[in-house]
Amino acid sequence: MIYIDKYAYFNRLKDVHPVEKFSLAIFTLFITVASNSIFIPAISFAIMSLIILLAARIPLFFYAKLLLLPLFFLFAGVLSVATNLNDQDMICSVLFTGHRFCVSASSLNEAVKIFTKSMGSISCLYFLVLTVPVTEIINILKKFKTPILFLELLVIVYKFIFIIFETMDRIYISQKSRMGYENYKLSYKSLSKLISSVFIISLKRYEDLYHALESRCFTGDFHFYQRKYNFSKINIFVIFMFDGILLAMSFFSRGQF
Amino acid sequence: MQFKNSSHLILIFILIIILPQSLFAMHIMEGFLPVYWSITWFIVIIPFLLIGLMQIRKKVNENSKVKILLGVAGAFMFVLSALKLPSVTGSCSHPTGAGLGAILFGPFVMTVLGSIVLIFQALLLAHGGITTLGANTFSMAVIGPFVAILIYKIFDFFKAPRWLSVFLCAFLGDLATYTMTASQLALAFPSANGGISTSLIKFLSIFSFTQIPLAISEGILTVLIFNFILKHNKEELKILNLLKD
Repeated sequence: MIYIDKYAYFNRLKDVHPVEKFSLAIFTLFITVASNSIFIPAISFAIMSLIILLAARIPLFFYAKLLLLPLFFLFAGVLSVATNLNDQDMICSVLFTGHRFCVSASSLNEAVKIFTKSMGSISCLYFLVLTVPVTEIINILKKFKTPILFLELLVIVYKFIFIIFETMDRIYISQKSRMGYENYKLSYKSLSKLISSVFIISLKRYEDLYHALESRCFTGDFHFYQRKYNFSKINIFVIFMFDGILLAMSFFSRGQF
Repeated sequence: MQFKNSSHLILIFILIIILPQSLFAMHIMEGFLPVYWSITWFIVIIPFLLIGLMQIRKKVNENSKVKILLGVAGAFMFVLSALKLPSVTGSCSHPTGAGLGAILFGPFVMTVLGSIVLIFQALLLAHGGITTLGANTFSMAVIGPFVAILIYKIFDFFKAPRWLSVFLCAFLGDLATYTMTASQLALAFPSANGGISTSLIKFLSIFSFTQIPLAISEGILTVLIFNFILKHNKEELKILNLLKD
């Protein structure tokens, strides 16, 4: 199943007010993305990783696997930024398929900056998704005057994801245990059958749900239970101090590190 | 420093390590774009989202069933994107069904659904990101569906066989998404000695490793799914008629 969602409900920080965690993640994310140095993203990466591992107690192995997830994009993106064709002031070059790929000091500098910035901000994203459940994020979005229709769609999609995911997982396992994915031809055949049957099953589920709702006087609105949380003054103070210091540092160190 | 023969080896070695990880290779990751580009893409998608929401609101007012149907469709798209597609260069995933969805629901509604799917991909699968949500929505939920529906309409108009128009709709919709994402990256990181166009070629060629095989397999798969549903489940498709005018 979807492990990130599981950890969001069962981590050690689950009793902390979601708005506190949300604002820590978002403020740090914005400061990291806006920063123009290697230093600030490195700090936010270190602090966020420490909070994720030590305070929220997410297993190290799982967190490491998450960090490897965007590796291909990061690798390809950073490589394209770092290399140029036939650059004059290069510090290193590679001859490949008849073209000279060069790396210059300035492009390397930019590539390293993008790399650290991405790692720093992705740790903020991971802190958010690993400690704040989706239902709480939707509650927070409600306070920001997001269109109600959009939020309702978010809620319905979230409820259905798990139903459909389970159905698909079961069919996939049974197909696989019957050698359904042995070669390319079979894979395409099995996959197209899997997707079309899940499509039809989803439509059936939707009909069932609608009948169930209608028999209980559904008027078009959903109401969900909201858990109560308490604000902690210490947490708010620490979040403001941390982000304040980070902001001040990025302000004073503009382009220096 | 110069590598000649060893450079090939190094490249192959890196590709072997990295390619199995290439799930959702084309989502711009969190923090990759500079601030002004993140904000620009958010502003660009707002009109599309508002028109989509207005269209949905109109249909919901006629029949409250539509809201749940769209929710199910969004969840279906999300689950599909978590699925691995068999492709030549490793297995990749994608917000599949952008083409199919555009045919069934219309492009503006697809923008709303696509943005919701992208939000959940960031929150539940850690793919894409919050600051790059605007850029990703524009390439995957605006450009992709609009190109897909345009291609489908054109080929349908010329009475092309159904499989061809469905294939081209999914295939070209995918390629348009990939080109748009590469353009967004090129705009954000223009090359020092060649400007945006050189940078665009760089990004296009490096992502073509995964994206072109992926687009072809998605095209084939969409045709197979379309045929399967039309052949065996015509009755169920009547539910979707709610969305037609």
